[in-house]
Amino acid sequence: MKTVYFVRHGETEGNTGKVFQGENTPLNEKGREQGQIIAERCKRLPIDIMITSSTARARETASIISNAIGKKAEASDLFIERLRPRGIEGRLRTDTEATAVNEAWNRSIFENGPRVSDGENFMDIKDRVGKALEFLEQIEQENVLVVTHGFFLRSLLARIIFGSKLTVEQLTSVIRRFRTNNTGLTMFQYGLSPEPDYHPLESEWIVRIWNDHAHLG
Amino acid sequence: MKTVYFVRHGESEINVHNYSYGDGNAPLTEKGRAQAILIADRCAKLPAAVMVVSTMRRAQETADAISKKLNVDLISSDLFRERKPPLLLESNDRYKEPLLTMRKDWLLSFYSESARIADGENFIDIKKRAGDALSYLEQRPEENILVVAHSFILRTILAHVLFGDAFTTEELKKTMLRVQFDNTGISIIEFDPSGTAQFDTMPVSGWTMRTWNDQTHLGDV
Repeated sequence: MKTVYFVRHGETEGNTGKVFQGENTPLNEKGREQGQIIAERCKRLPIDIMITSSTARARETASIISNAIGKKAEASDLFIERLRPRGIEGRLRTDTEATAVNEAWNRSIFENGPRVSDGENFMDIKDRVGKALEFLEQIEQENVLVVTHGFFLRSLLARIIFGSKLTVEQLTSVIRRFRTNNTGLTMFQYGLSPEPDYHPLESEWIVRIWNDHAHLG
Repeated sequence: MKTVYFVRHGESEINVHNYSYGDGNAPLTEKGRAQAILIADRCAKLPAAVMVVSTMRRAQETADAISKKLNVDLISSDLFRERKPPLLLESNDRYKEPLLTMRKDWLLSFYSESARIADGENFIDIKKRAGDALSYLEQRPEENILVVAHSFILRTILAHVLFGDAFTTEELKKTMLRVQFDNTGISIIEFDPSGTAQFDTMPVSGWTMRTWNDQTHLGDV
């Protein structure tokens, strides 16, 4: 059996909502403090290997955890946040042109609308979560820690619950109804035997813990 | 804004023997009583103003342990009982045919639009009860509520939070297959009537799921 712990990165200025966040936003002071707190918690987890999204906020969170647990994190583009059209990264949310692009991009995900420039759409995200799970399945070690992002984590959750035929409506419901906290701890497991009452599983991922943030007090 | 903390009862005799889900009289095991003490210490730190507890014995025993640390009114409610099996499955013949087949058919009735096995609850019933349970919580005056209940009904409530009453038998089945709820795990849902909770530019009103099966107090995670 494989256990994968997911940590959402610490808070950034982008999370406080003034600009459309891109890949290079650093943690803010509170985010770095959250990083120290989750790092202390990770010391008690049996982690064999650590992977991080390649964005700045995830790498920074991962490096705080790395220092605490003495393991280096390998960066992977598979666990980055959904890709926003690069043209609006860093622009203010009060910018009407950028907001229109952002809304069209949201429709490309939640309404399966047309792709907006280089932003990821529903099919892209569905494809990437499938690849991310395959990647995790093939890791030899039993206990894996992944530092990633709120939207992507919910997409993984939706894919695990609803499987490879995940619909737009199912993804949208999971994105809207599940919340995440910065540095919340999530645990998925792979390779458990199914509960005796139910049918054999199509694949064997299960959701064990979502967004445990007890360490934040 | 309202916050509901759901606690699954401690390990009980029926979790060990994994047989009759409906047995309202199954007590906690020794391990279950130890789990109840750990969750009680944790609940003492929650801002809950009232505790709503399933009328089944394993939930009541868990709530009794919590009551020793959290001094709030305890309300017993049938809304949060575990799914109800046909009465015949409580009999001593339940380990033999034809009741083994009846049990299997009843378990499958939750993943069928129309199957009903004797007087047992089915898909339509549990979906309605999950909706009623959420309405009940929404209408209670307290902002912070602790609920002690069971794995199947709480996962049905999870499906209801996700889809309202529009979820299909297939969606309920996937939720049951893929989402685990451990003894004394804590799950947190929040109710926001106004839609100030936002995802990107989309306002989200109503119930949302904050945390599922947090078990920090059990010490393994």
